[in-house]
Amino acid sequence: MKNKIAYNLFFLIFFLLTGCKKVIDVSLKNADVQLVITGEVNNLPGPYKVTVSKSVNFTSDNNFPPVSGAFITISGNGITDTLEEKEPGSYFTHRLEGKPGEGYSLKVSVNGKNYNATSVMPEPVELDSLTFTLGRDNDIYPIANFKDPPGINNYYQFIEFANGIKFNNGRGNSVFDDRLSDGRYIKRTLYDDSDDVKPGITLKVQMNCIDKAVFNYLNELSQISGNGSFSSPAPANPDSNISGGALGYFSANTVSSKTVEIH
Amino acid sequence: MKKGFFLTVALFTVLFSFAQQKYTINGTIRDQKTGETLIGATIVLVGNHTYSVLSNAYGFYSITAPKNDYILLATFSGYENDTLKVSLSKDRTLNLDLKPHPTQLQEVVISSRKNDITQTLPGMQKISMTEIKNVPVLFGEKDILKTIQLLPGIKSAGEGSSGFFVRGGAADQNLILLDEATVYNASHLLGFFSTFNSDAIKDVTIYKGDMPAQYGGRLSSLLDIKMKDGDDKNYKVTGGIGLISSRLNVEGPIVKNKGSFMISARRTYADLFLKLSHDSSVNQSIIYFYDLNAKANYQFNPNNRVYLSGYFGKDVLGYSNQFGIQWGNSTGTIRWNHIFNNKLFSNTSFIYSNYNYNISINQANNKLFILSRIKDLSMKEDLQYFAGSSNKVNFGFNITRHIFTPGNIKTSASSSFNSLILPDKYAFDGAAYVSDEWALNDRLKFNSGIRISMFAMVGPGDFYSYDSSGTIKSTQTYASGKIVKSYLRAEPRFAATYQLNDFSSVKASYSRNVQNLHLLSNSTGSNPTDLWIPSSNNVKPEIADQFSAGYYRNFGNNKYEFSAEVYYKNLQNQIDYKNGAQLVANQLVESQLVFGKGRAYGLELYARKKVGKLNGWISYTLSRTERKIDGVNNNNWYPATQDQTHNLAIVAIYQLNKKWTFSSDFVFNTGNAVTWPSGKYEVNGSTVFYYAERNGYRMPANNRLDISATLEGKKSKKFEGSWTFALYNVYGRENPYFVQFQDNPADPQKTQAVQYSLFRWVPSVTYNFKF
Repeated sequence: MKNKIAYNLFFLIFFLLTGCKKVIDVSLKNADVQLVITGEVNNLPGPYKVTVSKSVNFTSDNNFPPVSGAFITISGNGITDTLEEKEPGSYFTHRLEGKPGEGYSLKVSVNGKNYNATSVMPEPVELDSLTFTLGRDNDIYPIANFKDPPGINNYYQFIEFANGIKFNNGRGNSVFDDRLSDGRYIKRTLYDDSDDVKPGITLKVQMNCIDKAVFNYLNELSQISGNGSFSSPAPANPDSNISGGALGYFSANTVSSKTVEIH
Repeated sequence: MKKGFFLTVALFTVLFSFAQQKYTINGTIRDQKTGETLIGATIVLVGNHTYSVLSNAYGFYSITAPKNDYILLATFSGYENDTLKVSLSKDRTLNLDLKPHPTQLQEVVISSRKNDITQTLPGMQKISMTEIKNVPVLFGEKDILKTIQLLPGIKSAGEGSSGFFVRGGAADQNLILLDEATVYNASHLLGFFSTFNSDAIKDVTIYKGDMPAQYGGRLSSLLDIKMKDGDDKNYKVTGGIGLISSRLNVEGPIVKNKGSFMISARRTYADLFLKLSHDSSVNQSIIYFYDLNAKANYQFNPNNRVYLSGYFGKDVLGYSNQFGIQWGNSTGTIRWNHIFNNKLFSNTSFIYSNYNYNISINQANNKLFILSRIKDLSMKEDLQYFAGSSNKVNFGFNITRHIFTPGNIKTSASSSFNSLILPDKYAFDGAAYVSDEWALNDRLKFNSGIRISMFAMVGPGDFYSYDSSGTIKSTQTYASGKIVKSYLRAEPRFAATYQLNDFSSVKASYSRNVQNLHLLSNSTGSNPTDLWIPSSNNVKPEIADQFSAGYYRNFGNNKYEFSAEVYYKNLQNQIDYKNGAQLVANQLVESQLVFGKGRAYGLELYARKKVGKLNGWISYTLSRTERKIDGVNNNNWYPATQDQTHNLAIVAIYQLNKKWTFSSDFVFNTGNAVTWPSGKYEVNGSTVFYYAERNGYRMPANNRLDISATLEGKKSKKFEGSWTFALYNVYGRENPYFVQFQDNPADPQKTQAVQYSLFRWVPSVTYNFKF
């Protein structure tokens, strides 16, 4: 949070000093096509979804080819559920039920290669309420209020929705851990692009409790996406919890959300 | 082995010299007008043979020669030569006062130019305050750190930045000393200004790796900055009023010809302009810095002089009263010069240095205060023995106690954060050295030395060791004062100069430097919250071995000088960070590090004209800087961020007449190595970029021209004033600062690269005065 404010101040200085920006042409190398797997099991009723897709070149359109014909299972609670491909690249469970405290393992076989991941669903933490604070220029920032359970490491993911739709461009995504906040009553300001949080919309904030590996992945992801900046370290692909060389991640997490109309 | 041989030869030379009847002249060399001691002035005795010596950092010189009649010639850049007849038939003390040259730009200092080819260590460069005054810089605030970036082998850390890289080293591998005290963060306002107020500075010398054995602790350079002593004859006020900052400097005698003081202060007031803005996001912002340099000295008798000097600087950045960050250095030095006899000079220093930052967040239900600090106390003893006509021996020792406060967090009861005190860490840092400057004959000179450095991290505290994944393997508790880990390292240094003829020479050198303090920084720029950590059980001392050689030649009756230097540097135990490394308030911060090595090599060309109405220099560097870090780019060598293949700077200063002086600088450099995407994919509905290799791309090249004009006002006996008008980035080039990749807002099906630039056409005006 303090970094965010420092960052804003930093930019303020620049724009006072005739900063300018323009779109440039850069010629980027084309890397080999990468396989991307994302999957989630949560404590809401299923089915749960796993997607498999491919990377594309920078200059291509944002159409990421789905990968069909994968054989995918998720095991946990003593059962193994084989997922069904209901639309190209999207695979769904049949009977698996996510329970906090349980470990889940994902196996994906595609084109003769195997990819595995495991994730343990943390105990749930309830999001108590949403409040708001006004920033510069009357920007509205939501605050997520919740009690962090003492004595254990907790990792949180926040996802924001305006009128039921996720914010564009990866905005409205953030993560938080209780490394410096263990056991506190936490009032977490979500400093996201305020263009999306404005009067007249219905804002939903979803708070997921995630495990450590998923937190690390999402934390690194947030560092390289959106407003990654000049002062950040050299960007690198986030460390995935999926073995076998795929991009993406697999998360077993709990979900708690609050919805508020903004006037 | 070789060194032992040379030292033995040196010793014999000294012994033999007693066979002849020899006498010593010693004294102090000063500015006639102000009494400032002159550092590095040349004193030459011309007789059957020529004997020469440079004055030391306190203006002291000693020269020993056989009984004879001589002409003594004293020269210093910017001063008129002093010539007198000396009949050497007994030991004598001779203090010299040089008269400053009336128009500083037209200096003709042939002998001291000649000395550049014979006397100096390779890779050493001095830059005069006159040059610093005339080189146009951003916002018209003359700046030492930005001016040295125009020298070969020295690169800027970014546009407008006072951070710099020397011969492929990192920003934290520069030792910056202000009157012997280490300055840990040499920048104000996130790097746009340096902490050094040029009004208070007398001398600036940079050593690009081959630093004298007296100094150590950083791998790539020593920037040795000496404050003015103050005028010991007259009271004087100088100052300047600029668009965003003002300066005032007062100096004068404490006791005439015996002691003087100097106080210099500077403050920016950009924040006062911010207040005028109607935009609440601007007018509630707080941005300013100030600094204060103060110095006093007193000569108790001809053999004892005491200096007190201090620096205090602070930056304040904030937004209304909700958020604030402050940081600053403070240093203090007490020095005692003692002349034991006409050949032995001693300086004893007690040094204090402190750098801290604090962050405060003051929101209704969320109050937070963070403090971090590094504090040093040092004692240093340096002795110089002017052994004979051909030898000068430097020896001494120093010891420093470091106290690190990595982070103290205090929070209110309703804050989202816990209070947390990371335990202080303690370390001792010591070194003993001896070095010898030896002139074998008129042509061949050797400078050999060895520095033995010791570093010990001591308790109390818990110390951890980690496995390869960064999880704690074992914890050991140490009592107060118990040594956790210590390192003893030998740092040999050797340089040879061979004078080919009256106007050219070649030099070669080898040196090893060891660094035991490491700056952890998650940003490429200067960030006040970057953290200094000591070598420990997990972090090994960084080591650099540098080989360099050069050719030096003066042309046109020494009006022009030219040099070409090559270097190769090998770096061990370099530090990098794991993906997503958590460096802030982390007791286990050492688990976030990865290690590797580096290498750098290059060619530096430098041509300079110091005489005439038009003067200036051209510097060009062709270089390569690479890193090899565990786990990065499949453990292959890759270009470091600061790897810039070509780097060119041209500085020209033209004095039209007594009223007008024009100056300009032009820079061109290859873009930094950067990590850009080589593809994209989708996670949770958003585009994510795929990175195939670290630093596999290049930023576009930079180029820029800056100009300035100085108009001298009417001079009266009492008052002098001048106006300086400057324009930064004359042709308004949008030099790339960083490039961001994102979805095209107009067409979400596409992605785009957006280049951000900082400064186009920044004009400035400054009024300087003196009375």
